[in-house]
Amino acid sequence: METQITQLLTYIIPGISKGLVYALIALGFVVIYKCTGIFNLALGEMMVVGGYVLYYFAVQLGLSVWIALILAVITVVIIGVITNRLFIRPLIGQAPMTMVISTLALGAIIIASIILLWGSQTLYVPKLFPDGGITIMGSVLQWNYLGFGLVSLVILVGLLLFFRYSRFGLSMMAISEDQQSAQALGISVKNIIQMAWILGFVTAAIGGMMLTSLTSVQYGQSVMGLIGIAVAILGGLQSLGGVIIGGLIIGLIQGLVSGYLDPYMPGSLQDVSAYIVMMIILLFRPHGFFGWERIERV
Amino acid sequence: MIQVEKQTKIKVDKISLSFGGAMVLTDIELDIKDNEICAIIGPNGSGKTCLLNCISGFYKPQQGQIIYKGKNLIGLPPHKITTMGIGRTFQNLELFTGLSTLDNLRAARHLFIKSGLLASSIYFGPAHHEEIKHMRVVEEIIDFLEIEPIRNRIVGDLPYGLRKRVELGRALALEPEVLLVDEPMAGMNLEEKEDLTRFLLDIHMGTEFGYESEFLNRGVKCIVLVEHDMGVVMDIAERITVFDFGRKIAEGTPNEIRGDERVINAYLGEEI
Amino acid sequence: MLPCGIRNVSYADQLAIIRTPLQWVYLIVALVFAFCLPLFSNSYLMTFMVYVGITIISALGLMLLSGYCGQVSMGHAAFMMVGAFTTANLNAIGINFFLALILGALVSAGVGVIFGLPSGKIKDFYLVLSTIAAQFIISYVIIGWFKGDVGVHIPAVQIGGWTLDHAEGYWYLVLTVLIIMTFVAKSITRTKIGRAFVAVRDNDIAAEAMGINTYGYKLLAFAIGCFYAGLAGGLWAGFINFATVDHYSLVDSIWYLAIVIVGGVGTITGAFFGSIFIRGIKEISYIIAPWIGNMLPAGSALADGITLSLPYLFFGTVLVLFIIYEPRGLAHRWEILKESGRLWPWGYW
Repeated sequence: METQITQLLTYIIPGISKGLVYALIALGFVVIYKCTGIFNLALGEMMVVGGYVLYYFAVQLGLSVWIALILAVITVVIIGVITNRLFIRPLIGQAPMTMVISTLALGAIIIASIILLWGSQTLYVPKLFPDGGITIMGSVLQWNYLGFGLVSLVILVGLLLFFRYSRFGLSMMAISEDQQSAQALGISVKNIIQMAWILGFVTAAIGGMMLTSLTSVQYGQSVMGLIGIAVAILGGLQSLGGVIIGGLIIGLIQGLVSGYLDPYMPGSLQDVSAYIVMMIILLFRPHGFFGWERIERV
Repeated sequence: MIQVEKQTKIKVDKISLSFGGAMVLTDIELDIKDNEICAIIGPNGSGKTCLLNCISGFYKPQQGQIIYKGKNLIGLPPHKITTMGIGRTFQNLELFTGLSTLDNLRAARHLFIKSGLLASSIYFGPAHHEEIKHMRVVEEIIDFLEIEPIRNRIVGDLPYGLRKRVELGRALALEPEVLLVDEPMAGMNLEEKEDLTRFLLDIHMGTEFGYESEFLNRGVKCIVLVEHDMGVVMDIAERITVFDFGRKIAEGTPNEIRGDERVINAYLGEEI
Repeated sequence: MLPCGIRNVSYADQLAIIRTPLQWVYLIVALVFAFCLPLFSNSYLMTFMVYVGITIISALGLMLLSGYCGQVSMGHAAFMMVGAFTTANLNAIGINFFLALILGALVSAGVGVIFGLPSGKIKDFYLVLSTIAAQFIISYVIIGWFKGDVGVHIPAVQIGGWTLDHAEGYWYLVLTVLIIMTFVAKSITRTKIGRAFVAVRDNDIAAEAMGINTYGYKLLAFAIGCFYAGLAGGLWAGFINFATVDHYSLVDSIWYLAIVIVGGVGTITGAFFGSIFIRGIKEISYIIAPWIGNMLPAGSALADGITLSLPYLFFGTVLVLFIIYEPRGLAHRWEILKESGRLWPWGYW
């Protein structure tokens, strides 16, 4: 019995840890959607950029990891401003699908830049927290994962407070409904979209930086962005807190699948399981757990 | 004078509709009769458009039935209800804004074109013949509604008044037995209102022009008009039903309604 | 806009696509040229043309599904994969290649309908997500159960006495299929099905009110679009004599979507323009990458990465420039060109 629980934990704990990573990435997606109505398909690329910029400061320039982190965040803000000017601002007011396609283009260009600047091999960055961790029933929950969870929570709470108590909150929701009407109301759509874009970019990038320090960075990881989107859908696209539930569920499912189903099935069911969950949610409850249901009025 | 007993075309039988907690329609009973222009009036928010949406199939009332041609319309998908002979226009104009006037009307001929996938893939032969046949019908409707100048223009570029006429033409192209018209006079000036009213009457009574399309000559015998403009309603409606807060508060001929106290209170407010 | 001096005197005239004798001449010359292409080009060019032809067939399908019916699909390459592997696997158990090709396309259409089922309840972006999920799920199923991990070999295609194992020969097969499928696509867009598609795309509530069974037509769009995809996939497998998962990833699906957008959403010519343009850009990026690489400092990450990154760079730049400056695509630009040609003074002489 003990070994069964231990075995279960060896699948659950990494699953939860992964779930937190997903949650932070998904947060980047939800922030942008909630404030601007833009479906950001370049989420994975945003995440990966964070990792590579951290690598630049921490390894190529040799600074201490935490200082590198701060500098990296500042750099990502600048990247956010530039990408907003080039890819998002010219398309304000147009159909939503246009913006989605634009983010696709952005993603491609980010990948191209990454390959040109850093090549295609996997790169490593020193860990943020010391090694070791708490031991629960024979399974180790690493400090790094705990630290990661803490950082994610801090960011999440910060964002929640920001949206509730700052004047940006309401303006942002107005924009996500209808950009032209918001403009007619005197809301500076351009500035708010830029703000939301940067916030979302930085959130996803920090997720990427954490992930890089935990494992490694390689541009192929950008596919995790899609899982991040699945998590956001699961939690509900209008809900900041929902990403935690979504992330944990998908992380858990992946962990359990990799442990109990994968050995018996051909291929890697673990990766696909996130997409299967997404399909199920889209079919039965597209607005996720905490999102808003829309009724079409004729 | 011989009074012909008019048949009931659509029987709205005690329907109630609510969204979440809000009761939008309560216990509505209405007989929509054939050979008649029946008007539904009432203040904004009284549920008139919701009733039309229930009949068309876009909303599903929680209680009651809507009987048409012996069937209960509730639960049927909107496209099925259209094929049974009910056409409508929308208050907020649901046109295909990316298409031309011609294509908007041709889209409505969908029900009558029998070509399947195979015939459509080959095009030449049956599909081509049907395209030509229905093109003629559409051109006659365009002629009838006097919208030839805008035949090829993209509807999205048209001014509001002309769009309303295109919407009416599109509903007409369905060859409906019952036409539901939702606030056609909204946003029109006096001259445009008179034009549109004339068109509605022409549609109802049929034309003298002798078009090839029989339904234009026959006319649409049953029209349900949801409208705010009392002048228009009093002039052309034969029977008026009054809604207020989702309930039917009065029904009768224009003269009866004109003097009905409940109606006056609903529109002008009560003395405190 | 009609050329100067041409008037429509019947409904048939109004509906015709080829309206003047000169247009018939253009069409025939173009067809003759296409059929004679192998006579004056080399093997490299013919291989490129075969790829372009196959791409156009697939793009036509995506154009009908996403361009005309508005069901944006980012899983198109996965449906091509279904066609490729079905054709290959059936061929491997002895079924004639051409029969296997059709069956592959039909199976792909069926799978398309299955993944199109959500379209009744979800729209726009959510549907895009479900097609992305479809891409991964189909990929997994094929790798796991249909020999996707090792690939399936197809022997050289044979018609009568000829063996189509070289680009010149295969070109005729692709060209024939392309001509037939283009005709079918154009015919569909001119009749009630095409109009129903556009109605569903523009305003599905109004479409329902017009008696159009929107859900049914969305499923039909998936079926038709994925039929084309499956056909293209099978043809590709026949050409390279191998069915492999490499050419049918999410990245490829996105390239196809770019083809539809760059070409011009909602036009048949757009599939042609887009395919030629995008395939051309890809080829150019492969050609000039080593050349640029030589100009950069040797051994630097920049020089190493140029081959891999140039296609992405071109893709992103082209796509975003088109969205901002030419949102209606190349087909629209072509229409404007034709119209200005017709308005040019000498048309009145």
